[in-house]
Amino acid sequence: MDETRRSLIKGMLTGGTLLAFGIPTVTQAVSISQTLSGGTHNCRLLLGNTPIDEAFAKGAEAACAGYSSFSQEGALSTFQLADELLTDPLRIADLLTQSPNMRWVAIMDYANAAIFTELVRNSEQRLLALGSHMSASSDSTSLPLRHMWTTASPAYSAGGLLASLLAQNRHDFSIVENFLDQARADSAMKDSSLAGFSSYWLAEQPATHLHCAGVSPLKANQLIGWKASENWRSVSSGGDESSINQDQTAPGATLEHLRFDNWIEATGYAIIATALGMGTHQEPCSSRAFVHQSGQRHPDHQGLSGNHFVSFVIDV
Amino acid sequence: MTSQYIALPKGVSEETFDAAIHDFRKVLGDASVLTSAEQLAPYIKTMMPVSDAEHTPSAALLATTVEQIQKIVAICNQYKVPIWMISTGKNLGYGSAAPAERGQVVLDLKRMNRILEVDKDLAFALVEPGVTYQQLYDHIKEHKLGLWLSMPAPSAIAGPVGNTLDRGVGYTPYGEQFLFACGMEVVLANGEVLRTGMGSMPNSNTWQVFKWGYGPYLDGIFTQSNYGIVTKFGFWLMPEPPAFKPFVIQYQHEEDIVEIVETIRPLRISGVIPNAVVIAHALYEAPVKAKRSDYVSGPGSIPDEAVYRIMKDHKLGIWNVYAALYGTQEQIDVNWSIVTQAFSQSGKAKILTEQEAADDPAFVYRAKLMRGDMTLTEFSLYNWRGGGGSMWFAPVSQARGSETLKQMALTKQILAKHGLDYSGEFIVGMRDMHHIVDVLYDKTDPEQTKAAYQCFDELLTEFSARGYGTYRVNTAFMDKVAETYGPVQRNVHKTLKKALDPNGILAPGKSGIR
Repeated sequence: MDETRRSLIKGMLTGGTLLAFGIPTVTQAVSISQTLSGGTHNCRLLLGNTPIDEAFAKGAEAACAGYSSFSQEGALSTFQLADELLTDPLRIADLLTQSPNMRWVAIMDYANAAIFTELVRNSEQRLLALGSHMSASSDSTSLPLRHMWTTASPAYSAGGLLASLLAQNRHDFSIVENFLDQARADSAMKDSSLAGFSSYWLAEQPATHLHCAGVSPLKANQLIGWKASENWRSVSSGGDESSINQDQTAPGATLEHLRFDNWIEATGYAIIATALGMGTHQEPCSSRAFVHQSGQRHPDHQGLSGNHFVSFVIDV
Repeated sequence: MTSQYIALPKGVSEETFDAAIHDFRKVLGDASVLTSAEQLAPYIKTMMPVSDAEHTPSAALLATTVEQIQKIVAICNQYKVPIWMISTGKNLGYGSAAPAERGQVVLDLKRMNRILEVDKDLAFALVEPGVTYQQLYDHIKEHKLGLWLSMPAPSAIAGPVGNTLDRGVGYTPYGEQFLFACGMEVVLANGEVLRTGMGSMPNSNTWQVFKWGYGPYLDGIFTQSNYGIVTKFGFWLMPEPPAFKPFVIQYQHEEDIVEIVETIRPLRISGVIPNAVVIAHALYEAPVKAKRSDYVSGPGSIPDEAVYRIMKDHKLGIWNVYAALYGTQEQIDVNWSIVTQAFSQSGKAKILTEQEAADDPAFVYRAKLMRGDMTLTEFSLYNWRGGGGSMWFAPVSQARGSETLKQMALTKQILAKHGLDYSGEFIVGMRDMHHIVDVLYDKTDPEQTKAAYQCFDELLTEFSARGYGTYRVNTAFMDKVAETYGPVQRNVHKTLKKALDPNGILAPGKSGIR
């Protein structure tokens, strides 16, 4: 690497392009002392210069604050992109490869995400979760707030935590998660139900779970584009209840005090909390979905309608 | 029982696959055989309106030498394990790096990234498949070779081997990539190494300067195919011209496409305009400057009225013709006079040069591509709707105004029926037009995803019924497109496949060939 590029990256790492939303420009990366893979990681946030950066960072800060309260760690290091991915993508690739033993959470628009995905593969990083987050206009036939994740394993799933946060704020939403490797779910992980949701399993392989609120399983399938099936089994009327438990890792009281101004903050919280190892409502399955229709239109849907972004969680 | 792999090749048991992985590791080492979900996740994402599960690989292999590839194909033959080859894997909108079928093993050649030769005098390069345009660009600049590349939109992160083998284009006079290919090294399914053209002759130094060799010309069968693994690739580079003059010509009405094409064709065939001219619709250029949600919300395609507002707000034509002149200043002056005279005749054209359009981001990125510079600005298309759905619809037409108008109207009508926008452009080849349409949709919306699939299927059906063939397509629709070219061609492809790859280990499904 030439010296100019080395200096540029050094500049970025020491704060030259750091932007803090209430975060000091030079901060200690949050250490994840008990990672899912057993090693020690630090966590950093990469913001892709989108209109939702500030809201996401606010949610991320809240997650860090919760984490720090028991780990005594510092705030989250935050990096702000300008237009590097479109103009000088290799600079971002260098940034990643020069931060070993680091867990990165990145958010960006779809144009940048197309390039970033390629950089992640090229530099042989480990992609734990890739999320697509969309708030659509109110007259769409689908639910106005939609999240879709491809996640390496249920152990990296943020969907359950996000569902509980969005539900308590009465959003209408769908969350669909596909897990590439069900086998690597945490051995302690159990099927769980979520307060306010009716839970269903598909009595066939691959293991598929559906959690509905305010909507029937048939309608939920339609809303998320899954094939209709007669084989959904209600957890309360025929599932193996001995293996079901209300998730104790995040009792309702812990989440109830959390209030977010909008869905993006809630998403920021859920993604960062999960990246820090505080994920909840994680189940051993191949796919699952949460569909929530409150019947009320949350005012926030209008305010942030049309916003969309992509999230990444990667280990370097 | 849960598998230790995230997918398995079709018809291969886990026990057999275990044995193959064990052997791959003996050849490549543990670190170069990827099987975990975290490692494979970056290979899975596609923009097609089908489940990513249909294109999930079982493993990825990171080879670095021809000898390793020879051993890999031997293992694949032994265990009947199919591989899907990628060079840099940047086939965005055509399937990206994901295999055509679930369970195929990706053979990722990105680590084979040596620039083997760049000859300044004869203006050619010989590279390995993992070489990116950025690498080559830096090499040429560093050594002050005075040569230009001709890059597609993913420029810096893509590479010449993948782009040429999939018959992609660039935007300089050398933009028809395969026309300028000269000599390949190919590992065949039986492990033999073939050098095409003059490369087969011991001690020949003409491999990268004479394309044809002796006997049947073979290079073509290794493009858009699955007959071999290209491990070295030669191609010609354009000498940097002394002068360069990019320009844009704007028109205000969709039916003006007839006049545009009729004006360009003679200029293009005679070589007055030497590069691949782009005729971009306003909605293809708009994402560089505007957001769809600023103009329209809700379901349905964007109304014409909103398109006209975008044009007005952002100084776009409904058609924006980007081209350039190359050569000495004297040559450019003469040709500029011919171009302006031709386009000025009807009084409809607004001609802008760098002087007037230097601040226009759409013009800036087009000018960069036309002089072989790197820019990824075209990716702004993906922000138009958001949601991550994109498929390139790429029919070919004659370079006649009447044909382009028919294609545009038919495309627009089918897209509108399914609630999607016309984001299209025509790239003027020597005598053809590549009609390139980005079918953009929101993949988080199941209704729109379903509509996008049906729309693309209908586009292929309706165009082929009228004799318009598609020159390139994403992996979800390869069989359908192969079918449109008729049974005889399909049978020849199959016969060649049986002869060269009897076990069907190389990329089954590529271009519908198995």
